Amino acid sequence: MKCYICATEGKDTDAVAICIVCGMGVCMEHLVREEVEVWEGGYPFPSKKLSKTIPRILCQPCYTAYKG
Amino acid sequence: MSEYSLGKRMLAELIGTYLLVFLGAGSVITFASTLGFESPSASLFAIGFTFAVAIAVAIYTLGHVSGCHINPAVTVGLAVIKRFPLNEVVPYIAAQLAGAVLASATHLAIYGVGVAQKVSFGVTLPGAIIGNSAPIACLNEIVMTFMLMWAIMGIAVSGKSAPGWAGWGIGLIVGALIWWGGPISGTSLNPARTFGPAIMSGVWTAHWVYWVGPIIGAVIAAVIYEYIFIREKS
Repeated sequence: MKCYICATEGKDTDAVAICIVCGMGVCMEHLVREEVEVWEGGYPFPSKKLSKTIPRILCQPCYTAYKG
Repeated sequence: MSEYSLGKRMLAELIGTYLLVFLGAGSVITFASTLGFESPSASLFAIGFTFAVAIAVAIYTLGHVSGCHINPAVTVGLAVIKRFPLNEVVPYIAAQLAGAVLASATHLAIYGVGVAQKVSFGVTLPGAIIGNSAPIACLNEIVMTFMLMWAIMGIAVSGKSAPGWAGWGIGLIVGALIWWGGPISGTSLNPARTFGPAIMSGVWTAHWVYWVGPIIGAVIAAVIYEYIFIREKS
């Protein structure tokens, strides 16, 4: 799979990840990786935050749409 | 793993119980004042539905913070089956009682003693239908709180029910129990819910019923569900 954003710029770059929102293939330059906290539990128990986070990868357009 | 501090969870229990008593016991005062005792069925239905809404909102907003027990009987029931730490039982119950008293104190500020005291701030009492018998009221509270805790175990603790229904499922079982058992024992199901109005009204008649009955009922349901349906299966 190729990076979609690079392709729109006329470049031919291999994708290294897929945006979890839109499914776009993205290269290292056009991805945004964030660590997301994970909470488990809930009523009738207090929820607990797990010690490790989970990585989430978005393309830049989706990241911008979500985070402004 | 980390979680909300005990102080934050106690605050959540205080606010949740405040919400329950402010809306629930407050609805007893409001509907008795507006609908009057000439329309007891309408009042009973309205009170039951108000409790259901209050519980649903409390669970959906605070369930992930403290567990939203908002009821000493639920806290004790979960502690007995080792799903809640014993050393946090007293702080949780203290927060629940404080929330209930604050709610009833707010009723005093809003309604004034003349209106609120007409129905003893919404305190629960053994009904005339059972000859005001405290032991029968206690039996009724045991059975009804068994049903409440059974619903909590099945809907929320077992992990086998459809997610997202805890608030309305548990709220509506409380509403149904109020419609059925209100005239019998007042349908407290919750020592804190009776304690707040009792403090403000000074009415302590058969108060023990509303501690002994709910705690026994909740413990029996928790133990049966936990050890027969959850742990046995696993």
